[in-house]
This record gives sequence, C-alpha cells and structure tokens, in this order.
Amino acid sequence: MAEAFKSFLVNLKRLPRTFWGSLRRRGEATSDRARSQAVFSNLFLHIHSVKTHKNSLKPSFTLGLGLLTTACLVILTVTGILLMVYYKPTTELAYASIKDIHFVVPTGRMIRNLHRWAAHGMVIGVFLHMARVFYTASYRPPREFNWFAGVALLALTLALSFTGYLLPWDQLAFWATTIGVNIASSPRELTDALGLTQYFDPGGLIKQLLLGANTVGSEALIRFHLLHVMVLPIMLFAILGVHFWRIRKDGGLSRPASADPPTDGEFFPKSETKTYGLMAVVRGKTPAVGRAPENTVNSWPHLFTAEMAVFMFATAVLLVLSLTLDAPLTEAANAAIPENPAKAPWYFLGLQELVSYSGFMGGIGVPMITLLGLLLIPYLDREKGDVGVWFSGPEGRRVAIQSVFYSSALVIGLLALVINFGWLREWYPDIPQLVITFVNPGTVFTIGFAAWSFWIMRRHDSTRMAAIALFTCFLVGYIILTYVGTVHRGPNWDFYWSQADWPAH
Amino acid sequence: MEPKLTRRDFSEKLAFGSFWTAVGASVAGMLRLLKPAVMPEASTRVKLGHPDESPPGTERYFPEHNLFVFSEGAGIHAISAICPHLGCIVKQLPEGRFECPCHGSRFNAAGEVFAGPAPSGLPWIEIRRAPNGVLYADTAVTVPAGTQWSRA
Ligand code: HEM
Ligand code: FES
Repeated sequence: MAEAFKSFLVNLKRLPRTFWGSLRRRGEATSDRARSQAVFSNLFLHIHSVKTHKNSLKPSFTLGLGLLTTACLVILTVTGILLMVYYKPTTELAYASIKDIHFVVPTGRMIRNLHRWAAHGMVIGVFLHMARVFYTASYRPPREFNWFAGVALLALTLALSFTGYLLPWDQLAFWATTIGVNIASSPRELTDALGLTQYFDPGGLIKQLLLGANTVGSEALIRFHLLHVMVLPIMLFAILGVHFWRIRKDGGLSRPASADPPTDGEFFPKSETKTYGLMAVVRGKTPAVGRAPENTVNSWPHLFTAEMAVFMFATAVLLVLSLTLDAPLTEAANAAIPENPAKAPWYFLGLQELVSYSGFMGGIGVPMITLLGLLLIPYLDREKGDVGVWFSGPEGRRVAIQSVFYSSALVIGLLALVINFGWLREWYPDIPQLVITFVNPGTVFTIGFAAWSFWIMRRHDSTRMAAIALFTCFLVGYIILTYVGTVHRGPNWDFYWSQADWPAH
Repeated sequence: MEPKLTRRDFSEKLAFGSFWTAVGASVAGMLRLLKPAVMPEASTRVKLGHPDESPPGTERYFPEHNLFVFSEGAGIHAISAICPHLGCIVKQLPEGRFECPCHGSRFNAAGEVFAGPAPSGLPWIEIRRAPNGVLYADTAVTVPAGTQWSRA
C-alpha cells in the first residue's frame, strides 16, 4: 500500500484527537503551569487574570454580586433571543404573540418566565453590587473610572427593563409606559409654569424622540423594541467589556492592606517550573509588586469553580421561580381606560410615589441629583487607607446604622404626615404651581439627607463618613418609597394597608 | 512667555478639529432622523353632530378621543379627559367632578385642579361649526377655560 494512503488512514483514525488537540494548543492542562498558559492563551478565559488574590475569592468580600448580575445578564440574553423567535413588535400582533409564547409555544412559558425573573434578579443584583462596592470603599483610585462605568451600567440596566416592560402591549405595559414617558417629558411642567414652552420645549422633544409621536402607539412600540433588543444591549455589553477590562488593569479587585502581609525579604520562592513574565504594566498594586505571590491562587480552578457555582446558583433559583410563578399578563392595551392602579415595575415605584406629588421634581429632579451624586462619590471622597474594608471599620458601621435610623425617621415621618394630611395643594389651594413643582417630599428628603451628611462630615472630620451617611440615607429612602409604592398604594394611588382592602370594582 | 503655536501644532489642531467637526455634524444629521416630521396619529377631529343633538343640560363622552362635551343653555364646551399630570384618563364622578385614577388629581366640573399633583387644569378644547352646520372639536387645539361655542 502506498505510504500516503497509510498515513491518510492513520490520520483519519486520529482525527478526533488531533482536532481536539488543535483546539487546545497546549494539550491536557494537568499542571498549574499548563492551566496558566491555557488561561492567557484562550480568548474567553483571558478576561481573567491567571492568578487570583485569595481575598477576591472570599464570599464575604464580593458576596458574588457582580457575578450574580452577570449570570442574570447571560440568562437574559439567551432567553431574550429565544423570545424574539416568536415575538412580533407591532401593535396588532404583539399581545397575541406574547399569549402564543405563554400558552402555545413549547417551553415558551418557561422561557418567558425566566426572562422576566432574570430581569428582576439583574436589577436587584446591580443595586446590591453597587452597595457592596460602595461600602467596601472599592471605588478608591485607581478604580474611580470603573465606578463611573458601573453607574452607566446601572442606568442601562434600568433602561432595559423599562423598554422591555412595554413589549407585551398589555394594559399594564401601555399605561406604565405612558406614565414613564410623561415623566421623561415633565420638564414641560417647568417650561409651562414659566411660560416658555412655545419657545423652548425640551420635554416635548424627549417625548417625540422616545415615542415618535405624541402618544404611545405603533411608532413607540417599534422604538422601544429597537432599544430593548439592540441599542441598549450593545451599549451594555460594550461598557461591561470596559468594566471587566478595568478590573484587570486596576490590579484585580480591591482588597484591604492587611490581605497582603509584607514578606521578609525574598519575594519569589525559587522554583524549577514557575517563571513570571511581565504581561503588562498596570496601575496599583498587583500581587507581584512588593509582595509575595503566595496570597494568590491559580484562577483555574479556584476562580472558575467559584464562578460556575454562582452561575449554577442563579440558574437554579431562577428555574424554581419560573416553575412556580408565571410572568404577569393583563388584558390587551386599551388607550381609553387606564389600568387602575397603573404601576410601573417595582423598582420604579419609589419614583412613582414621588411623582404623585409633582412630576418634574419627583421624576427628573431627584433622580438626576441622585445619579450625579453617585457619579461624583469617588472624586469627592479621596481618603486613603480603608480600601476593601467593610464600612471602613467600626466608625463607619456606626455612622451607617445612625443614618438608617435618621433617614427612616425622616422618610416615614414625612410620608405619614402627607398620607394623613395631604400635601401643599390641600393645605394652600392657591399656591403657585412652581412651588408645587419644586417642593416635592423628595426635595425635602434630598435636603434632609444632604444636611445630615454635612453634619456627619463636620463631626467626624471625614469625607468617607459623610459619603457613607449620604449613600445609606438614599438607599433607605429608596427602599421605603419603593415599599410604600408597591405594597400600600392602590386604586387612585390611595393608601391601603393591604391589597385585601382595595375597593372592588 | 507663552510658547508660540508652531506650524505643526497648528496643523494638528486643524486636523483634529475638522475630524471632530465632521463627526459632530454626521451625528447631528443622523439624530434628525429620529424626530418625526409628521405625527402618525389618527385624526384629532371629533365630529360632535348638529347642535340639536346636544340639547342644553346634556353631556356626552367620546371614548376614542377622551373628550367630554357639555351642553348648556348658552353654549357647548368640550373638556379633555387626559390628565395634565402624566396622561392618564380621568373619570367623571356623579357630582360632576373629575378624578384621575393614577395619582389622585381631582378637578372640579370646570376642569380646575383642586387636589393632587396635576400642574394645571383639564384642557378645554375648541369647538367649531362647519359650513354644513355640524359641530367639530379638535383635541389638538386647546382654548382658555370657559370658552364655549355659543348658540347665539
Ligand atoms: C450590569 C451591571 C454590572 C455588572 C454585570 C457588573 C459586574 C461586575 C463584576 C463581575 C465585578 C467583579 C467583582 C464582583 O463580583 O463584585 C465587578 C466589580 C466592580 N464593579 Fe461592577 N457590575 C455592574 C454594575 C456596577 C455598578 C452599578 C457599579 C457602581 C456604581 C459597579 C462598580 C464596580 C467596581 C468599582 C468594581 C471593582 C470592585 C473591586 O475592585 O472590589 N459595577 N462588577
Ligand atoms: S396622571 Fe393623573 S394624577 Fe397622575
């Protein structure tokens, strides 16, 4: 037999092995060294560094929250693509196609439920992750910019859920979106009061750009669909890429100074098999600068198993939720009869509570101030030495606890007053509209929180303590307002102790 | 002394300046696409019928246009049911007042707000009589509160 033919047969027999080998250029990763090689020569693994600091793997430090958010995002992407197979973004067909997905399409209901619960999970995840980054002072240089990127991710996450809410084209979707878009256009409340609207109408412009019309209709559905499945995801993934990239370039996750005890003299243990190559010069202290590498472990397997555990946990929880709870679907959208109460998704109900006192300040003013405040935290608090320490130590923990009491008292007190005795217009019927627009209970909260924060700054002579006070106040305010909007508001946005007391209609 | 702008600095500034101007102009041009030139809405004209169809003391509601039409001895007026707060549709209560289901704004029979977050009263809508004697309202045209189509 010809030589060539023989080797052809041999090659054919070996094909599975040689193909697999060509995929994994370095063969079986049996040693730490081979695993390190595998990590940085693989496109998908190399967003991780080869070595991970032990502190970053401590569940009590990250609480796995960034990963949990990422897991929800992956699930959302996969289920979202599947939903797009059947979803039809036109006013005539949208509602019916969601019904089809829910009742006819094989596994459709499961996929829809997963998409819905993962969306809730992602919102919770991103809030909690931000809180963990804040309370561990992980926004300190060089990580200020990653905090900035994080705030953009928060805004994009909320925008994604808001645009997604319209797509089923049911009553809830239609009216929540009508209200939401009118909030976005509420600068008009201000220009109207000043008599400027004919000349300068930013509110109207925002509305027309979002809706492509003056009311929620087919143009709006197309625009929201486009934003939801294309524009916002592309932006989110791009910024998330930066977010992850910066984690590596900022020298891995933050950690307390105590996590790297200085070594006595010899930094690198002698070893026959390990060599360290300089891959890039990064800012901040990487494990290899001035410290022994002994506080790091190989990312493979330590980090990867931890990541897989978080992903599996997220998947398991969402699966159980999706098997037991169906995503809601009300009647088809009807522009003549508002849903009563027309509630936005729960994470916007705190805003809706504020908006029920005045649109502009509640829906634009206070949220913008909050967002701006979040963005500026790392630039205004530049103290040192407490990075990676929860609450920056016992003093911060005390400040946080005091702030919880202070803000709860302020928010619950004022809300109780307003719910029992009404707000400005009930007290002074002839009050000018500008006063109503600006003096929202939310304005009072914001001023009260800021005053408290400045007082803490003076008393503790520390910008970090002031930041902890302010962040905690806003977090508590957000939680209480959301709770009231979700649980205690019923038809006509009246106060009810429970849904059982709602009038039957 | 101020360092002089060298020829090279100058051409660099020029190059980058024109680059960013081009980017800005292209983006601005593309953004224009998003602003609708024609509002794709159904007609805002509501046919109210001949004045005799609305004898004094009656009222009618046009749900597709969210419009109340009230007829009195002196004339006929129309009030929009769209809440000026955030756009929900108000309900009329038996005593003639209006109430918004979304955040509880309340309006009197003339549409003036007396409680809740609405920044203004319910808009009054223009009523016109066509040459053939039929009344029309145009929900896109508001008139000062109190403006009626007068029978005289
Ligand atoms: C789509 C939303 C987001 C995703 C998927 C995400 C993902 C992650 C992941 C996986 C990490 C690694 C550490 C960990 O798990 O805690 C991380 C770290 C970080 N994130 Fe996010 N994040 C998001 C939003 C945010 C937000 C809203 C902020 C703050 C405003 C933020 C600020 C940071 C910072 C500063 C770090 C570095 C923390 C450190 O060095 O300890 N991220 N993010
Ligand atoms: S929309 Fe009418 S009170 Fe808010």
